[in-house]
Amino acid sequence: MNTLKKISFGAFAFIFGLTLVLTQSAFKPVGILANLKRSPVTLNYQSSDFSQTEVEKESNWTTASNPETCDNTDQVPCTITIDNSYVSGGVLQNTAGLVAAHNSLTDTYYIDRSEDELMEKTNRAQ
Amino acid sequence: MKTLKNRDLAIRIITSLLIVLWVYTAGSKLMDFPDFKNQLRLQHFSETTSSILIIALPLTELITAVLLATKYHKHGLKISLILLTIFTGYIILILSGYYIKAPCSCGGVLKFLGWRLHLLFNLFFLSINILALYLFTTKERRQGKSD
Repeated sequence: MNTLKKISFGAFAFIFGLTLVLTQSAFKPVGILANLKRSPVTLNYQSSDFSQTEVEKESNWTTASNPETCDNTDQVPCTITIDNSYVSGGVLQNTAGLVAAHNSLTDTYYIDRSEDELMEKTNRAQ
Repeated sequence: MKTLKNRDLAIRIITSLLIVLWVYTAGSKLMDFPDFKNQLRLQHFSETTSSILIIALPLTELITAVLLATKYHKHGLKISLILLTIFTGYIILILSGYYIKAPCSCGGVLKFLGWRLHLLFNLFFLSINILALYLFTTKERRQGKSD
């Protein structure tokens, strides 16, 4: 009886954990709700260095204006629109987890993705 | 007698909480496996390490939960302690600025906590894990003495 009680306790906890998993949206936020909760901020790339390290460096992305025209060509970074939770004092925080991709033709890096799955990015021609 | 009952109850409650924790974190990873793979790649590990962790992490968490739910719960408590120590250490490294980038805080609703709250969350479970092991060890010693 005691063994049964012990097993039941553990089994109950196991089932409860499974229930939590099934009722929660674990990794992907619910689309509409996620969008409603967002406060997007547009940031511009401020450096003339298009190496991977610099493109992924969050301090190079600020709300300060940039005269470059973003033509949506994946050569060098231009602007990103990201959730406000990744921005502080007009500067992108390192929690944004920027990831750059390489353009082999121009041997430069442009913005590919970030921690914010709903981030919008616009690159430009060099 | 009442102390013994309270101790057993405390061990049972803590073990149950840890089972829920590990089932939830493992289940969350497995429920959305492609996303878990992508988010693991954003962490500070090499490709090889990420490939190993993709399988090893949820598997170890599940095994830990199963051990905790069976008569081998002492082993489960030990593995749980190791896992929590590693995860907590990783968060401390991130918060201390050891890593330049601080990518996602993966794992279900824990993703929405942010790193600081995630650290508090981990410290809580680490504390109760240690407590459960301590209570279990003292219980075994008493039983050994009374035998």
